[in-house]
Amino acid sequence: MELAAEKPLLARSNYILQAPLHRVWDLLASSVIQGIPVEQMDIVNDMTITAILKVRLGPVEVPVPVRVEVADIAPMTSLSTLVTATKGPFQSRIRVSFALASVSDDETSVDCTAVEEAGHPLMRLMRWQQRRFAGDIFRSIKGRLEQFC
Amino acid sequence: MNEAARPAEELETDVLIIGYGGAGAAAAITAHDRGADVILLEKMAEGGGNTRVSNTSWFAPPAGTESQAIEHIDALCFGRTDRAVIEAYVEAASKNKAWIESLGATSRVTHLLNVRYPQVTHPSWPNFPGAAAMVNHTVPPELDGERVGQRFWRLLSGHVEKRGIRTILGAPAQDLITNDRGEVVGAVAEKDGRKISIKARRAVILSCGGFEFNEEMKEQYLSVMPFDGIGSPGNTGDGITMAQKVGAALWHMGVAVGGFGIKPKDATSSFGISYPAPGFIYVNKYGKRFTNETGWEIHFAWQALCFFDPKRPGFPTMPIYGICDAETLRKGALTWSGAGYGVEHKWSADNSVEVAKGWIKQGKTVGELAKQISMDEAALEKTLGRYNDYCKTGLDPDFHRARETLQPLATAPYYAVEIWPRMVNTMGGPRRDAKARVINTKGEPIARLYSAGELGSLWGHLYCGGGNVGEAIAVGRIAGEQAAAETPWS
Repeated sequence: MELAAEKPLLARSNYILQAPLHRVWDLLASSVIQGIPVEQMDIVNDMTITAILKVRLGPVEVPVPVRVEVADIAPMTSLSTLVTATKGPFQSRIRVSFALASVSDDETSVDCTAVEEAGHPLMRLMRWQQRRFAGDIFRSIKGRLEQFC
Repeated sequence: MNEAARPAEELETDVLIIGYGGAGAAAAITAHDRGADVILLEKMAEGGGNTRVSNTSWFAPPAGTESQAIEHIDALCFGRTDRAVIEAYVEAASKNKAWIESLGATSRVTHLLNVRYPQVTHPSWPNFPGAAAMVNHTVPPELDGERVGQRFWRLLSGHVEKRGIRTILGAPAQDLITNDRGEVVGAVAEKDGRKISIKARRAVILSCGGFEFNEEMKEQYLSVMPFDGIGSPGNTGDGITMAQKVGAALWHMGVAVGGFGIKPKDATSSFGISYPAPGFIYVNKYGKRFTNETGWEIHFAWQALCFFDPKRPGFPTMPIYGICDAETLRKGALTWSGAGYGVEHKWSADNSVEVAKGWIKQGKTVGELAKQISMDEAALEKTLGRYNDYCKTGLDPDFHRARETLQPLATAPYYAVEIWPRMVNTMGGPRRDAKARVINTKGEPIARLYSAGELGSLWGHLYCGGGNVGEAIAVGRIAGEQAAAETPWS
C-alpha cells in the first residue's frame, strides 16, 4: 500500500434532510452500516468494526475484508472513519467523513466525503469503479436517512 | 468473631482490603500513597473481579457539570440513596480522569457507535434531567487481542505491584474481627486449608463484589430466576454476610444490571444477544411477541422477562426466542464478546460454527423452525406474518417499535436462539455513607469498616452505563483515603 501523493476524492455528497440534528445523528451510524453491503460484521471494540465488504466489479461481487475505525467523532456534528482493506489489489485506506449542521430546528445539512489516503498501485486503474462504488454507497445511506428521518 | 477466638497465626497491616478488583486496587493504591501499609486479600486465584472482565467504561463528569450529574444520579436512584453519598461520588468521579492519567495511561471519551440491535444508548437514560453530564471514558487497549477490561486491569494491578503492596490470592475472607468496643480490627481468611488472621491497625475495606453467584441470595432478593452471572464467580456475597455479622444495614439488594443472552449447555459462558441488523423479533414460549424488542435500556433489559401470566401460571418469557432470517444472520455475529468471565469460544462472524453446534436453530420455513424449538407452528407463522405486515406500513401498533428498526423477516432460512436473562452484577450490600463508612442498622458508622465498589453500590434503582467502574475507582479512592487517615488502635 502506498501513501497517495494526492488524496483523491472518491465521492462527495451533500444534502439537506427534513429532520432535527439529533435525529439525523441518532440514525447516522446505523444507516451507514445498514446502507452498505457488508457481511460478517464483528465489533472489535467501541471504535472498531471488522466486516466483509461486498465490492461489485461489473458482474462480479468480490468479498473484501475491511477494518473500520472511528478516527474522529464529535457527537451531533461529525463522524470520521478510516476504512482499511489490507489484502491483495484492494489494499487501501479510505477516510469516510460525515459532517452535520443544523439549518433550522427541523432541517439538517449532511456533507459526506470519501477520500483515499493510501492504496495499492493497481487501485489507480480501478479509480472510476472505486468512485462509482463510493457514490452508490453514499446514495444508499442518503436513501435510508431520508426514509427514516 | 471476637478477638479471643482468633487463630494464633497472624499478619498485621494498617489497612486490610478484602477483594482485589477495581475498587480494591484503587483503595490500595490510594491508602499506600497516603503512607499506609496495605494488604490486599483476594478469594480468587487472580485479581480483577468484575472490572477485568467488564467493558470498563468509567464515569467522569466534565468540569462544571457536576451539579447536573448529581441531579441525574439522584433522579435515577428514586430517593433510595442519600444525596450526600451521590455528591461525594460525583466529586470523586470528576477526578477519575486525572487520577487514571496520573497512573500513566491515556484515556478517551467513550462513544458508542450503535450499529447493532438492541442499541446501546449512552447516557443510558437520556430523558432524565442532567443526562448530558454522564460522560464516560475508557483506556484503549494497547496489545493485540487485549480487551478493554484487561487493559484497565493491567494498569491498576501494575500500580499495585509497582508499589510492592502485598496481595494474598486464593484466600477467601470468612469473618471480620471486632474488638470490645465494636471496632473492626481485622479479618480471618483461609489460605490453602489453613486459617490466617490479619490484624488491621487502621481499618478494613470491603470491596469483594456482589452476589451474582450466590443462588440463595438471588432467590431471596431478585425478582427473576434463573439469572446467571457473567462476571467473576468469586462474587458470592461474602462481604454482605461478613458485614451483616457486625451489624451492617443493607441497601439496594433488589437492584441488578443485566440483559439477555444465549447460554448453550456445552459452553463455558453465556453470550449477550446482539443482532447485526434490525431484522429480528423476540417471541415468548407461545410464539408471540411480547415487547418492543429495541426499546429496552440494555442494562435493564432483563426486566422485560419478569411478566408473570396469571392465566397460564408461570413465566411465558422464560425462556424467550430470538428469531431472525438469513439476511440478518449474514450481516454478522449474533453476539459480541466484549465482556464476561470464562469466555473461551470466539463466536464466528458468519455464525456458521454456532449453527453447526446447534446453538442457533435453523429452519427452511417458519414452520420448520417452530418445530426445532418445540413451538406451535401456526402461532409463530402468524406472529411473523403480522410483524412483516407492520414493516410494510412502518408502524408497529402492538409495541410501537421505531420505524427504522422494522425490517422484515423474509429471507429463508429462518433462525432461532433460546434466550435467558444474564446478569452483569448486583448492587446490593452494606449501606455506606459519603465517606465510604459502612453503616449499621441504627444508622451509625461501624468503626473502622469501609466499603467500595459494587458491594453496596449507590445505584438504588436505575443504573447508568459506566457507573460501576466509575464508582469502583472513585469510592475506592475515598475509602482508601479515609482508611489511611484513621488513627491506629491500641
